[in-house]
This record gives sequence, C-alpha cells and structure tokens, in this order.
Amino acid sequence: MEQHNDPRDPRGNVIDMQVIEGLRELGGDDEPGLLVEIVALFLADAPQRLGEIDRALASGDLRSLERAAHTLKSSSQNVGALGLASMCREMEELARKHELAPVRDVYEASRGHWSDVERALRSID
Amino acid sequence: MYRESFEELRASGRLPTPPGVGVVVLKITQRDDFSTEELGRAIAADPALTGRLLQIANSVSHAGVRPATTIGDATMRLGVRAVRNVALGFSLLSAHRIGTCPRFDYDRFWSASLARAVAARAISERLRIGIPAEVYILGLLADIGRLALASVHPKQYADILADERAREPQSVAALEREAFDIDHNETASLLLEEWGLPRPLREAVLVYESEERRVNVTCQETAAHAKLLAHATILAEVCLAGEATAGTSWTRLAAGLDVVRDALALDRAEFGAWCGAIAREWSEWGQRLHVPTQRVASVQEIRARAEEAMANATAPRPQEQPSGRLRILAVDDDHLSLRLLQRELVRAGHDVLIARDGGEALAMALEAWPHIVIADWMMPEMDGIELCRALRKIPDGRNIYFLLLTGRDDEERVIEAFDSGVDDYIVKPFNPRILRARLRCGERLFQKREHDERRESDENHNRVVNGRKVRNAERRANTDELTELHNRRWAMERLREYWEESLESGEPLSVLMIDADGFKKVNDVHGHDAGDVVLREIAGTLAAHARVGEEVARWGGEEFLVVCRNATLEQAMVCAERLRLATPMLIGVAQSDASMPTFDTLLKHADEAVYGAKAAGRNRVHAHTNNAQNKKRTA
Repeated sequence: MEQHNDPRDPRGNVIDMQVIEGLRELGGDDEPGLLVEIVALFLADAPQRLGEIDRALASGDLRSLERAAHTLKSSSQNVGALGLASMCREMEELARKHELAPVRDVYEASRGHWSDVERALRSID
Repeated sequence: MYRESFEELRASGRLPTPPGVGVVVLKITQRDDFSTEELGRAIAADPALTGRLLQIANSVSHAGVRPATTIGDATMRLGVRAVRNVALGFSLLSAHRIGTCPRFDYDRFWSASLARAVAARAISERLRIGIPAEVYILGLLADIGRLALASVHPKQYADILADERAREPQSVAALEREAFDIDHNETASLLLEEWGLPRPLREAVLVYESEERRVNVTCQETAAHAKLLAHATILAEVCLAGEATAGTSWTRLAAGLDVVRDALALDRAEFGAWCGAIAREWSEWGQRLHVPTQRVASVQEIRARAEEAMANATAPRPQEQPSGRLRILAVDDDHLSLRLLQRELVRAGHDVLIARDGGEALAMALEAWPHIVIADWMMPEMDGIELCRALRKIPDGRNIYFLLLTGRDDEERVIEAFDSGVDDYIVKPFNPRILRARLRCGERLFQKREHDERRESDENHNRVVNGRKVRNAERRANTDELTELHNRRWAMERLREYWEESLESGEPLSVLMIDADGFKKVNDVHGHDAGDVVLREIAGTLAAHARVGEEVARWGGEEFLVVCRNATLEQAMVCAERLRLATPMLIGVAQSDASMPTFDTLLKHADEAVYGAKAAGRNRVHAHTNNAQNKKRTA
C-alpha cells in the first residue's frame, strides 16, 4: 500500500507557487481578480467534491466516485495543489479498476491533507 | 375501358412480343397437354436463354443440392410455370433493347427493370412472397407498359416524356390516359395477361405505383406482390441514382429505404449488407445480360446525403466571422477549469460560450453553431465523447472542430475519442501555449474546410457535366452514326477481348460476317438517301433479332459483323439462320480454333465463307469449315 504521509512537493510546499504565478499572469491587467476568483472557486468546490467522494464510498457508487475524484484532481492541478491532485488520481484509478476498499485509506489521507491546502491557499493574496 | 384501347395498341403490331423461342414457349404452354420435355426442348434451342435460366435456378440457394445443369433440373427446381415465365422475360429483354422513341432511354429502362427484378426476388426470398424466380420476372416486366406505349406511339410518347408535368409515375399515367386512353400500368397488366402470367401478378402491376390503389386491393396475394413491387422499385431507384446524379432527391430515397427496412424487419447493419448484396447481384446480372449498371451508393451514404440535404435546407448558417476570431463553445462541469479555459480563450481573442454539461452544450451548439467546441471528457449525464458523437450525427455538426479535454492519465484512451469523431485533444491542466497552438490548428482546418466547400460545389457541378461529356464522347466513338449500331472499332475491341478470354477458358468463339444482300442495287437505283434508310432498317432488324451474347456491329459499307461469344459453329449457324430469316442476307460463319495465330484469321475465314455463300447464290448462310473434308455447308 502506497503511503500518503507526505503529499508536499520537494520544497515542502502543499501548493506549487509556479502555478499560482501562472494564474496571476493569466489574469493580466484586464482581469486582475482572476487569481482570487479561481482560488475562491476552488475553496468552495473542493469540500463539496470531497463530500461526494465520501458519499460514493459509503454507497459503493464507483462511477460517482471516479467522476468526483477526477474533477477534484483537475481543479487541484489548476491551483497547484499537486499532492491533493495525485491522491485524487489514485482514487480515480482505483475506482476505475473497481477496487473500492483501498480508496477509503487514500480518502482519509486526502481529508487530512485538505486542511493544509486550504490554509496555504487562504494565505495567498 | 382500357381494354379497347389495348386492342388498338395490339392492332398497331408494334407491341413488345417475345421473339423466336419466347413465342414458341408461350404457345406450347398455352396448350393444356404440353409436356415438360417439350418445354425443355423449346428452350434448349436457345443456348443463351438456357444459360440464364440455369443461372436463375441455381442462384436460389439450396444447401446440399447439386446445381441444375439442364432445363429439366431447372423445371424440377422452379416449377414449370416459373421456368416458362423466366424464359419469356429474358427473351423479351433481349429483343427490346433498342427502339424508336427518341426520348425513351432504353438502356436505363432495362437497367431499372433489372434492378427491380433483382430486388423483387430478394424481397420475395426474405418475406416468402410468391415464387422467387417468378417474382424476378415480375420485377423485370412490371414496367413493360412504358416500353409498349413508347413502341406503339414513339412520337407522342416522347412528348409525354418531355412534359414538365411528367415527374411522378402517377402524373405520367395521367398524361398517358389523356393521350392513349390507357396508361402504362394498364398496358403492362394486359400484356402480362396475354402472356399468361397469374392473376395476382397482373393485378399487382396494375396498382403497385400508387399507394392509394394498393391499399384498396382486397386479394391478399395481389396486395403482397404489389407492396413487394413498390419496395423493389425504391431499391431500383437507389441503384439508378448511383453516386452523383444531379437532382437526386436523397431525402426521398432515404425515406423510401426506411420503409423497405421496416417491411423487412432488418436492423441497420443487416439492411446495409442486404442492400449491398442486391447492388452486387444487379451488377452481375447486368454483365450477363449486357445491361448497363453502375456503382451504387450504400445505405449509409444515402442517409448521410439526405441529412446533408435536409440540413442545407433548414439549418440557419452561422454568420461567418472575420478570420482569426472564432466562436468557441467551452464545456466543463468543473467550474474552475471552465473559468480558466474561458479566460484563456478570451485572451486569445475569441468569442466564448460556456456550458456546464453535455446536454446544455448540445443545445447551445445547435443554437449558436460554434466553430470550435472544447469539451471535458468526464462529465455527468452526457460526457465529452457522447457530445461529440451527438454533434457528428448532425450534418452541420460535422464541420465543428472538436477538441477534447482529457486528464494526463487518459491519454491511453484517446483512441476511443478519435474513433468518436474528436479532432484533437488537450491534456488538462493545459499549458496555455499548447492550447493556443491547437486552436490555430483548428482555425486553419476551419478555413480550409470553408475554402474546400466552395470549391467542391463548383467541382461537383463540373464533374457531373464532364462525366456526361466523357460518356457521350465514348458512346460516339463506339457507335456507327448512320445505323446507331456499334461500330467497327468497338467490334474489334470486343473481338480482342473475347479472343483472349476464349484462349484462356477454351470456350468457343464464333463470328458472323454479313453482307446486306441487294443493298447495292437499292443504292444504285434509288440513290444514297434510300440506301441509308435501307441500311438503317437492316441494322434495326439485326439488333432486334440478335440475342444476348450475340453482338452486332456495322463493319463498314453494307457489311455487318456479329460476334457470338462462347458459341460453337453450330450455335452461330442457328443465330445466322435466325437473322437471315428476318431479312435476306449473305452470311459467312466461322469459329475460332487453336491453330489460328490471331483473330484476324477468324475474320478472314468468315469473309471467305461470305464469298462461298455469294458463289452459291443469294440469301444464304455459309459456314467456313477447316477440317480435311472441308465440306462447305450451305443453307
């Protein structure tokens, strides 16, 4: 069983700041609020997705599980939460392979990791 | 009542009649006491007809049964009535390949009739209606009334064909009744009665072209045959429509095919295969009977063309935009990804529409007709691939450049995406530079597509016109202007072809060299104009009395050549006798043999035989024999 104790990048960050800078640059001069908007979207969306994963685990609904993990994966990547993204990928793949049992462990790890991600993102200005 | 009008037609002496063997078969079978052997003997006198009959007897598959090789076998298999009707049908076909009505396309008539015959038999086999071989002939002769009216009234019938109102069979029939007090359905029905075809078949011919008349039929057997004929006619139209005939109503054909498919209770794949088999069989029979056929558009192609035509007629064309600025529909159920994508696209200078799931996207696409759709693969309800498939089913939807967003781990599965009609994919989270590069690619394709469409519509037009020109030029190059028979050039080509075929197969090949006896005298006494008329008459007589497998060409001056493929000297002599009885001529007959270096020798022998005939007197057939006794046989 793979370990998820340290989903940080090699420099110890839960968020890849290059991605954040990329978002800032994308907003440019005409949409300076884009970064904040995206982060806010993510902070509102991610807990819902985690909730969906939880419910899907409880009901054994592999399809919903795969889809929620997939969506959270891509939005995590968009805000540079790469550790969270890789956990989501693992859940997505397990669900696709119909291996429900190991997902629970990964899910628990991702829940624990989420508070770090949330704190890091809220500190971005 | 149209029966009286039919008597008038008959009195003209120009109604289609089965020639030679056909008429003998007809007479024999009209007696109550005829024997199967008698019928067999009559048919066997015509080798070509015998061959066709065996082919049709054997093409109805009977697992484990040895193929029919004699008329007796065929009779056992098909029944006396079917054999007789098949013999009748084929002899009619071979005797009425040309005619005098200037607007009547005789080739097309028999092409369509043959296609209807093949289709009718296939339906008959599938739905177990009637006797397949007999239904085949019913299909072949269902429209014989048109040929009959064109033969009896060539000029008036040409006027009807030229009439703008003559679009649908029913309006043609109305014009016919106006002009002749009888229409082609009534004529066909009475001809079939005269030829002794069973009542349900005759009555089916009377009503099959009009749904209104069809549903009023009370006899079940008649109704079944009429419906079968109507469906076979739809399939024949499909065969004749070919690939790019201008003015084809693809929507009508597609609708017709749906009706046929329903009746046959086949699924789409089965029906496609079934229609394909009909097209192939049509082409095979066409080769055997020397009736022109062509490549047939598949059911799928017809459906696609119909959808295209429908969309062209109804879908509002999206307003075209200045180059570089595209209308892009972005679809993702993930708000965040969607927002980022939208921002990227706006920054690249495009107009962006957004949708949060496949269903919404589809509705928007149909409303706004975007140039490009960028859709996430994984979405609830309708995912990206399903959205793409849905769009590709709509004619204009095929022009949309479809970009699929996939996760980095889904790359392995993109093959499935391409199979669904996706143009390209981008891995999420996307690199903005890659996204812009992919968009440029779509843009280029889009511009090229527009350019091609414009050019294609021009080219399509040119192709139709040029195709016609080429075919006309070919026809002119192979046709003798005065007699409208094939010319010497064509005859030489056939001879070369059959010569080689005969060397390979070991089958015999014979030729008839014909000297129009006494023509010179007409020319000398009455002048060239009169001579031309006589030549044309002789040519018409030869063409009318030649059978399938006997090909008549004008050789030059007052000489004609008949090439008898796969015929022995004896069989060629039978042909020569038949022609000589039709019009007085000197005929030299020769058969190829292994010792001849080229087919020139064969022609030389035939020439020598003509001299032999001339030496013996007028109006004769003379065979060139090569053996030691060298008996010159004259008749």
